[in-house]
Amino acid sequence: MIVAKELTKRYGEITALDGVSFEARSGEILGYLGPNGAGKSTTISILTGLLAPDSGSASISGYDVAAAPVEAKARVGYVPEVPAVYETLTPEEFLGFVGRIRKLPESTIATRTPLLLDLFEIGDRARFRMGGFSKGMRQKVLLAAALLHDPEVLILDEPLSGLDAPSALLLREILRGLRDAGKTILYSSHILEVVEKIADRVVILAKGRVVAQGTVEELLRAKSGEAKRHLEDLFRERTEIADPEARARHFLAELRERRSP
Amino acid sequence: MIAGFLARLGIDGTSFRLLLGLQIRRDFEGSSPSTGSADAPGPIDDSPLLVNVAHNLSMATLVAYFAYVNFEPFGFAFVQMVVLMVAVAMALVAEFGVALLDPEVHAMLAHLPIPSRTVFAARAVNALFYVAVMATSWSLPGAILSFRVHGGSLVAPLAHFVASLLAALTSAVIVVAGYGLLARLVSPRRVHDATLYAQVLFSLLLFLGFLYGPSVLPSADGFVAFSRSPNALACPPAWFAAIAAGGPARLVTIAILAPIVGALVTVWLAAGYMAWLRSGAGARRTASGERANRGAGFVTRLFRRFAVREDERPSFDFAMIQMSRERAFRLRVYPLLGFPIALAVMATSMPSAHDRTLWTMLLLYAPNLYFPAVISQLPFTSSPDASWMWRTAPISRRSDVLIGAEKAFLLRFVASLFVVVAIFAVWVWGPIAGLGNAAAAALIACIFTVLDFREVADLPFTRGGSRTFSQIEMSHVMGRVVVLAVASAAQFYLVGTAPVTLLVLLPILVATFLGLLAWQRRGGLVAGAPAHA
Repeated sequence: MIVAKELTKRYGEITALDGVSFEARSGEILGYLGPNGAGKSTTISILTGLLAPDSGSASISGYDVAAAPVEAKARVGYVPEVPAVYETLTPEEFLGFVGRIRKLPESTIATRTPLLLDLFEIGDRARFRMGGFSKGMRQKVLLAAALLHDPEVLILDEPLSGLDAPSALLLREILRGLRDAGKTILYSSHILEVVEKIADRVVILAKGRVVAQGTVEELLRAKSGEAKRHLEDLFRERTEIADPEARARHFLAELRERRSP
Repeated sequence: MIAGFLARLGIDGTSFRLLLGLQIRRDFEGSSPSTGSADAPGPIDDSPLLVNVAHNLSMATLVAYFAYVNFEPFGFAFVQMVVLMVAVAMALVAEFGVALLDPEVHAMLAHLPIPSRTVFAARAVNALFYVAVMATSWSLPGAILSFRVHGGSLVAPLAHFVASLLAALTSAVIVVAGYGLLARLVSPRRVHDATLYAQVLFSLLLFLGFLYGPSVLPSADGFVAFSRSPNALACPPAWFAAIAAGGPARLVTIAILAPIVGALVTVWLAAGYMAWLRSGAGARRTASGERANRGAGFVTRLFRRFAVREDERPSFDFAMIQMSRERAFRLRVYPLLGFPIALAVMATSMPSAHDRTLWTMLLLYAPNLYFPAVISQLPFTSSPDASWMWRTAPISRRSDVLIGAEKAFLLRFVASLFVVVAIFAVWVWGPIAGLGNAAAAALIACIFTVLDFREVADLPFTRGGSRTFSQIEMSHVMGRVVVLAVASAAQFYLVGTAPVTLLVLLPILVATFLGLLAWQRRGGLVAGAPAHA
């Protein structure tokens, strides 16, 4: 379970998070949405212990991330937004490192590593250095590492980034299975269609504040009593995004005008 | 006018100006932090140019004063030219990216509509700027003092400065040409790896030069005769000293021609390298750069099994791998291997047993002088963004991580070096004195290693940038020179005269080492306060 209470974080004059509160329960996939700069990554950095909030608190499975960071971190599997890996390591070495630092028995590491690498179809590259891996392959290694210790909580920041379609479908099924097994999953993404399909509840963030949260069904019928067609409509409305079609039309018209003599 | 001139050379003026401005800004500011957070600060600026300038000025002042006190005008200029040329060469040898365009930088620029000639020109002018700044900082104290050396001549400081610029330029083109030649001789794809071996060779020659050079150079008052001898023709610093001190015309002519010829050769060699980059081979390097992993060796597995605690194993394994694979680490550390090789060469070349003994003792104790430089490089990596995996890991005891890395260092560097050194010592002194002194020296190196790890404030291979050796605290090195000289002399005398003292000495050293390890494990010798990483 993830609990964020009144999280506030400022970077100089900029307020990245302004009293953000939400909960992700056991057996639930929580979609975490927001436009660029809304504060998603800051929230995730706080939840994973990468960043300390100015005020407020965050806890993982009942452990306060600031007061009991080791206990909290031990329960999290994390996939960062950018699949940054030590290019000198092989997937096998990387998973071995992750397993040992999480104090998994060697026998568990030995059995789960090939299982996970084969699952994501990179088993044949297990002993190749990651320097030559594509973004998608690196993402698969990170997903395998996040699942290695069978964590209670998964925090995924754009997990589909770089993945091919079969891998994306596979991941979706895995996440559903993990949810059914009682895991808590925080799924941060820009891809609204995917979140709409996979998330049980969503939190929408804009300018560092929570502007909407609830189940997808609740949120889509909240406005007028009748269900809206897509999460995208709600997202636009709540995050006060100016009509993208109009903006694109305006840009293209400008471009044509400047091209003409 | 400049834009027109550049256009005639096929260089896009706007792109040239932008690229050069960007590179010079990076030189001054260092790379900006790419990772970091409130509780785990990002990388420090890596060797900004102004820090280097300040350091060069202080060193140059010492060298200039030493030369002023000890030598007549030609010797005064000669000594400074030697130091300047070596300093420039060392700086460029360690910085492949400054000397030649790095394939990774090329990959970032290649898709932009910038002619490759423009990229090369910007790179070359940036390198020239870097060299000019180095030359200026190194020559300033000498130029000021040359006013007095030459009896108040106003031309002397200018001549000293011009000579320094030409010397630095020549040194730089020799290094760049060396890189270009390397890229032609070996497969360009392997140029980075070949660079490592070239650097070890270069540092070996450099150390040999430092150790052996003074014995072949003329005495303090013999420099004038030296400048007129044929030997001076083969000694580049003498060419430039001739400009600064009004030496023979033939040396002055060579000094003026050397950078021009060197630059032409460099452009020719570098052009081949650029053509290789343009061909796309540089981009393919990444895709084909995957290599199958070789598992840990028998000794490593044995050491890991019996000497590394479970909590220390993640960082032990990680550091063992990174120390042999991390390119930035290897580039800065491997050249230091030239030092023990040079000492061994010196020891074997000595005719008398007394001198062989002296050089072998130096070989045994010198690691304590350069290991701090190696240890100071441990936190740095070329993949700092990947350090999130440390910072999100449930690490309860920071000391476990550092001790794991420390044990990897002890095995990778201390143990492997002292095995070779012990064999050498046995050859020089026989089995008892050889093994005894080598064992004692190895244990002392282990003790200093534990103490040096106090200074490692960051987790291994987690920070961007690097520390140049000039920025390393020299107090550690200088302080221990005296201690080591006295201790090694006493130890050698005791072991040589009464081998039985080994029975007392070795257990004391072992106990000290284990005691320090235990103290460290309790957090007593660990830099930085945080309980978790």
